[in-house]
Amino acid sequence: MNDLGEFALQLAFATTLYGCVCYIMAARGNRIDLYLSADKTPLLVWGFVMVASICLWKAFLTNDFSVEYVWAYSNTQQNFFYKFASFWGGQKGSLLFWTLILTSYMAVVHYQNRTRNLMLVPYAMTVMLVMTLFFLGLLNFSTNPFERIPLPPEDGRGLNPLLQNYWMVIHPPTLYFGYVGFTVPFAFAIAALITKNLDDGWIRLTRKWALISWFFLAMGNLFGAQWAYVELGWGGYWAWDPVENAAFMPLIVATAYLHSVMIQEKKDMMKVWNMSLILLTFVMTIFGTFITRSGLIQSVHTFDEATLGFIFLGFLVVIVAFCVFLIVKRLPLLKGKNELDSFLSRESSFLFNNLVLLGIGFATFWGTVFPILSEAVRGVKITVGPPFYNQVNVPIGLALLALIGIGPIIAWRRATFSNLRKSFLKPLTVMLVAGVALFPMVPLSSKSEIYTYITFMLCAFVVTTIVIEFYKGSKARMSLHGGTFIQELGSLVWRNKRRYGGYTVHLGVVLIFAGIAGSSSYSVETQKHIQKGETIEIADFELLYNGLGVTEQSNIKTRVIATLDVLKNGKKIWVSHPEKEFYKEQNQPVSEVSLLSTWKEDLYVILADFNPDDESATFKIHVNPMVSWLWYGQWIMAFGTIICMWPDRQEQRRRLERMKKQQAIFVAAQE
Amino acid sequence: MNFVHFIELLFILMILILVGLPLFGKYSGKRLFSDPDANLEEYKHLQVRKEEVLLSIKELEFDFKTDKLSQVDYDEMRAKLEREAVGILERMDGLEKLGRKTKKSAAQVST
Amino acid sequence: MKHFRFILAGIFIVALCLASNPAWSATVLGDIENAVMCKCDDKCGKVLINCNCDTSEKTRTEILKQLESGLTKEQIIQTFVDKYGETVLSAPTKEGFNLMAWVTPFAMILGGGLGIRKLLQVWIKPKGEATAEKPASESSEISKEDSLGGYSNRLKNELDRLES
Repeated sequence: MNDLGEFALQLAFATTLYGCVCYIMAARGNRIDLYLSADKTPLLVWGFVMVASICLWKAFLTNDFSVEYVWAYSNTQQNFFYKFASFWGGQKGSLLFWTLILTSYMAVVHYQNRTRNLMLVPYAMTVMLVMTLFFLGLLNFSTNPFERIPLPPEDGRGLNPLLQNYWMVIHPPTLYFGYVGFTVPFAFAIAALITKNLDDGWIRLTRKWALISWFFLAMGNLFGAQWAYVELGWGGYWAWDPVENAAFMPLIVATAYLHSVMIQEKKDMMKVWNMSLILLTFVMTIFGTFITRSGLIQSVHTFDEATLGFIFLGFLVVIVAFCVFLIVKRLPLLKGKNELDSFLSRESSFLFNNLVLLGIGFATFWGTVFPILSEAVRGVKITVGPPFYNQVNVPIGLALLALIGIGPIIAWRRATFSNLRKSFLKPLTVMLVAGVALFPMVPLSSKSEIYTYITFMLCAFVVTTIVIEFYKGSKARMSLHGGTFIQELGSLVWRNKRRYGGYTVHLGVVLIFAGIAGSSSYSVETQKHIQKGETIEIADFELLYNGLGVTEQSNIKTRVIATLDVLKNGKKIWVSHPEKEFYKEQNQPVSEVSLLSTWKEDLYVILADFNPDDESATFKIHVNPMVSWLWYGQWIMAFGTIICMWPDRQEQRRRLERMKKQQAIFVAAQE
Repeated sequence: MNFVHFIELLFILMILILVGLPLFGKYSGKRLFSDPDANLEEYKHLQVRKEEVLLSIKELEFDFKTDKLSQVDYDEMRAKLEREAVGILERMDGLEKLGRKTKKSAAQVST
Repeated sequence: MKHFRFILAGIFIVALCLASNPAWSATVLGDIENAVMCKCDDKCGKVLINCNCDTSEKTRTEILKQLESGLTKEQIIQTFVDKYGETVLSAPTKEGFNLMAWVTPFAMILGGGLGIRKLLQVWIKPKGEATAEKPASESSEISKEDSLGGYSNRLKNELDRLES
């Protein structure tokens, strides 16, 4: 089977190479025979990569330790899920997994466009095939996942214990789905540039792809935050680690893109800008991989040897140079009639939204690369850690939050100032009332607490504007169509899925902002060494320590579990079981957090240390307010995105009508 | 020859057949797409623009009803958008005429 | 437009002020733990306050000892810098070359803001100009009166059809 996998990768490489050449020749020479031949390659490549992946999965599931990669990331004790997920536990498998997703997307794009866009598709396919070729090249010539060990060992080393969490099955694939997905809009953007089809056709074609990729990237980031929160055991969920930044930056740039394409769709302007944004998004996804794989920057995500940094850097440079060259070459064609009707318009508010988002993206990028810069210029190694990002990105983030509230009130094209003032009255009142109401309740002794206070007020403001948007819209429909409020609210959303789905996403974002603000300012923690029968008090909670238990989970994993009764106001509400897990051949034990999560606050208990002789133990306990708001916000975001993505029948109908009319009037231009 | 080798051989044959056959098929030498018709391209573009302008008018109406702009601004913007839409419609009519004409002559040539 | 410049400047100044005074945690120990990175053998790359490996525990007791001996926060942080070099600090210092790390993002936003202002000035045509253009484009059409009436009817139909 391993031979077969290796062979399938070689075949995939050869087929991809052929596909690239053949597609280009077909498009340039305008030859249908070549096109039909090239047209088989995406599916063939997908098939071969799939075969290779199945072979690797089989090696994992059958404990075939003659494969070096399986030996390094699995062992006989691991259960089915971790064996399955070990596939992407290291560099080689991650690359294969990336390739698998990329080729699968390619197959879907191929299917979607089997009868349309004959001008764009050959080039778009070529771009995706070139990406695939790069990864297949790595898999074939540098990081072969099927590399064999001549004398197979009895057992494997096993997956890094920190990765042995159910999130391992969820978080990396989600993130990869997002990362890889931006290849599709990128490919079509490049194809549009090459074929000079520079209206918004490529944006419409790939709108759903961009949205889905954005969705997965956002979910991937938040899933990662959740994983860090329950696994790393320091009470937080985001540490501005370089690899976190690498996943965060494309998300931010893509968010800017999703907003600014609306201007191009409506008014046929800002072509260069949108083109640049999607190229930048894509470049950021590759940059993220470079960061992860280079080992240049220290990170908690460096779980294994990282050797491919400079190959990725070279690839990155080639991509950037190519994109810049193409855009500059097409600049005369991209320049359109740019015209706005008023300074007070949604369009100009979107420009500022783009500015602020890219500001956050840039600050993050700048902080990530500044250590390299410092070492190059001054020869001094420095660290750019969370305090930097918090101090720089929080003020910019607040500006963004304010814009989320201001944007929806301003009409497209031109808003009237006096009406605007009237519309702002209610949200501002609510904001001030919230401010006054919160004032006696929240401490305001440090800068962080002042930020949090401002954030809460802004959240009240934004929520009010969004709620008013929904309310006014439904009322307007009621006076037109005369249905009940609920009916009209439903049809309001249903008939403007993008707009109101977008507002729903904003509501989720507001919750996330509130959660971040609350948890980063008001969390309390304590650490205490206690004997059996003693208690620790923190916030309203009282924790009574009842002793330790030891379980031999398997012959390589031993769990030490503490039991604490949790009392609130003298009433027992929960039993906490923080534990420490010891793995054979790992010097650092892994702490398993015990977590009681409510909408108001999380009680977060860690067994920091223990003495097996007298059962005394050290506990670290955090009370983190409002962390769960992040996860609620995440689900609301997901819900909103689904509304946005839901197929719009009217839009489909209009597209069909357009095509019918074209065919009725003009000579069929395409085969 | 063992089983794995047999499958490998099958894979190679599959590639050769799928990729190779079209090269010698009936389409050999034919063209993938005819030269782009500038009129059709413009027409397609205008179809989308027309829709966007119409949608913008609808949106403007809605924004007016939800109190985002004054009567004066509404009238002015509406007039502007309608002018834009009429301009597009006129241009599309012109293109349609041209398109019908070439189609007719193409049909005559082929019969 | 005039207000806009002041608003932008105001936002910039406020942001810079807020960004420039460091404070996250109330206690001195917390401040120090926030300011330095954990220096364990695994190179965990975490800020000390977030780390819970053995080395971090030792470092913490060390800091506490130094605090008890009367050293100030700055002095303690300085001892860390002397021992490990500047890389132990969790954020760049706000002097010399490192100042660039702090100022550049805000400078970029300021520059971008000014750029957008410029763009908007170019893109937004004064009202007089926009209306002056209109008759020129219309006069080129033949039999304006009839066709315009026809077109406005068609427009109405198309609008009605849009939302069926």
